[in-house]
Amino acid sequence: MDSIGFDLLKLLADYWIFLLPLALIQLGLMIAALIHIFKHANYKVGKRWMWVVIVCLVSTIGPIIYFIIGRGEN
Amino acid sequence: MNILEIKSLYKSFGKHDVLTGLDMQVPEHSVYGFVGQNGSGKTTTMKIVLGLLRANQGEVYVCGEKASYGETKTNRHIGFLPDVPEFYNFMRPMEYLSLCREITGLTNKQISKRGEDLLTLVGLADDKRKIGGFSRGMKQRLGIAQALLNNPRLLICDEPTSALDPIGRKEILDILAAVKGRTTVVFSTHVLSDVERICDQVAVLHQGKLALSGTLAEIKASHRQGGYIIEFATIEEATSYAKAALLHLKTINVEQDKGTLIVKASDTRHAGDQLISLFANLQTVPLKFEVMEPTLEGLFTEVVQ
Amino acid sequence: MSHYLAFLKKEVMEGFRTYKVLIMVLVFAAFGILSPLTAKMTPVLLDALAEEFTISLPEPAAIDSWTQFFKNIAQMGIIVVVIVFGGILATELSRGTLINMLTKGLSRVAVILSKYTYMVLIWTVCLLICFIITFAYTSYLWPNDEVRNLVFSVFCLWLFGVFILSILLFSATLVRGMSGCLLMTGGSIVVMLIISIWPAVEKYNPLSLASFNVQLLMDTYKVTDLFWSIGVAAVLSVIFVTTSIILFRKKQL
Repeated sequence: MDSIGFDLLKLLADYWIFLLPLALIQLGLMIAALIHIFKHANYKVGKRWMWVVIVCLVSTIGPIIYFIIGRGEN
Repeated sequence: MNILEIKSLYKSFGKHDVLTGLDMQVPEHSVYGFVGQNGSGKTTTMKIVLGLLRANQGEVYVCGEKASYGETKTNRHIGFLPDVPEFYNFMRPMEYLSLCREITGLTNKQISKRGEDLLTLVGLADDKRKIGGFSRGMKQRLGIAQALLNNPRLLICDEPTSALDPIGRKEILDILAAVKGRTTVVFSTHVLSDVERICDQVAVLHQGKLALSGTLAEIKASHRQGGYIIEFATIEEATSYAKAALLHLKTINVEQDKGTLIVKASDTRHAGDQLISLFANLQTVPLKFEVMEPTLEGLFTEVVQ
Repeated sequence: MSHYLAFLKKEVMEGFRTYKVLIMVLVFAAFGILSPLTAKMTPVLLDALAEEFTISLPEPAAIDSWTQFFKNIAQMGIIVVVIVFGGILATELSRGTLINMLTKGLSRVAVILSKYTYMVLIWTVCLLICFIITFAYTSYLWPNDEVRNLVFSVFCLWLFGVFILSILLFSATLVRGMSGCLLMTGGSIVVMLIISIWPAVEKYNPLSLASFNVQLLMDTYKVTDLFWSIGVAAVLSVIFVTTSIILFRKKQL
């Protein structure tokens, strides 16, 4: 267990310069999608809870799929 | 002067002939009701006028200028409202009108005033929503605003009311009636009550040709069948009146349906005088005495069959 | 000209408000980060997977990062662009939004040109963002001086994208519907792939612009060898755009 925890820290220490911006992009997409979901009541496909789950759980691809397939007009 | 003139227009899609020698004249400052069944070619005709479809044969003149297929110059005289108008959902109404302005080439000052006026006219001035959130009726109203933007001499509306509920329909008809003074309106429909409400000219398109055209009054007059409808309170009254009438007037034809009589005569004027004096002779008073008017619906059915 | 600018403005506004630009910029930025990251991590991952064997892997270098960059953009990047822009005409024609503009006298030439400009613009911006990010990481992590012809190589990839977009535009005017347009564009790439098996035409194949980028960096492929491909791609792009205009002017809507 110890060695895994150590590895994770070491990984973060070595690669934070990559992982931080990637995490920011993911987070940005997720927040943009969530804001859009909660501002709109109708979607081309699916329901609100379904999109919230997809956007939160499937990183990067989830929000993109929402914007392309699910985004409603109002 | 005729604002729109169509001369022997032919159009077919494959083997299916839609227009077979259509002739049509729309006088200036009229509201022209273009009536026909679904699929009779109303939309096709309008698209040819707008240069969106190529006719097989025939000519179209808008304000005296010949319209041609493709980017036709005559479109600058025309405002068009498609049957189901679709606008860019991501824009706000004023932004859409600005885009239209840049395309029609009006200057900024002209538009911002005119755009606001038009949005007020159609009741969308205070709407800050994007078009994507609009209802059918609101899109239809925005459609009229954008069609009127360049001050067109001819406003063409393709079935502006058919997809709307009664309130939305009334709103559109009111707006069309309001613009009557400043532009000529051609609108296609299959709803005859709309035509009777605001049109002064009517044309019925059937089997690729105009089966009927003229002012509403003219058409009705020319199809008026000499006759009267007389309604009595009781059947007995009606029966005795019918007998007396047949005795007095030789050249009439009477049909009875319970308390109602339909009297047809070749010389309507004379027969009318006689029928009225007969009331005094028999000392009866009818509930109703009226001249038989042809209904637009009756005419339409008659023409189309 | 005024029609062209007005409609281009509308296209750009549409791109932003429908989140297409946001998505593309973020995806390309992610590619920009992922390329150096993959280059740096590959030896570490391989090492961890093959613990019992000690494979001597060379230390990653700038060239590995750029290899990832060109692979990502030439494949995934182009696919993203084609999918996002696949409906550029089809959606407007099927919804009827364009008809209204055309009846107002919007020139059809302006429609085609502004749509093409918009696509090229977004592609350029996205590629540039991705390039700058990869460049920043790569020069921070490794000495970048052994990499040659970098700008030329990126230019070739850019031109390939511009060429693909002209095919996309042409397909969009030729066939109705987005799927047909995607199929035709994909089909043309497959055709170029098949042709590339034949070494004699490699010199002229536009696909070479997207397949010899790394060799260019290592100087194992000469810059002058790509001049024919550049010429062919440029001329074909002009031909496709011109044909699109001619087709669209004659199209019944």
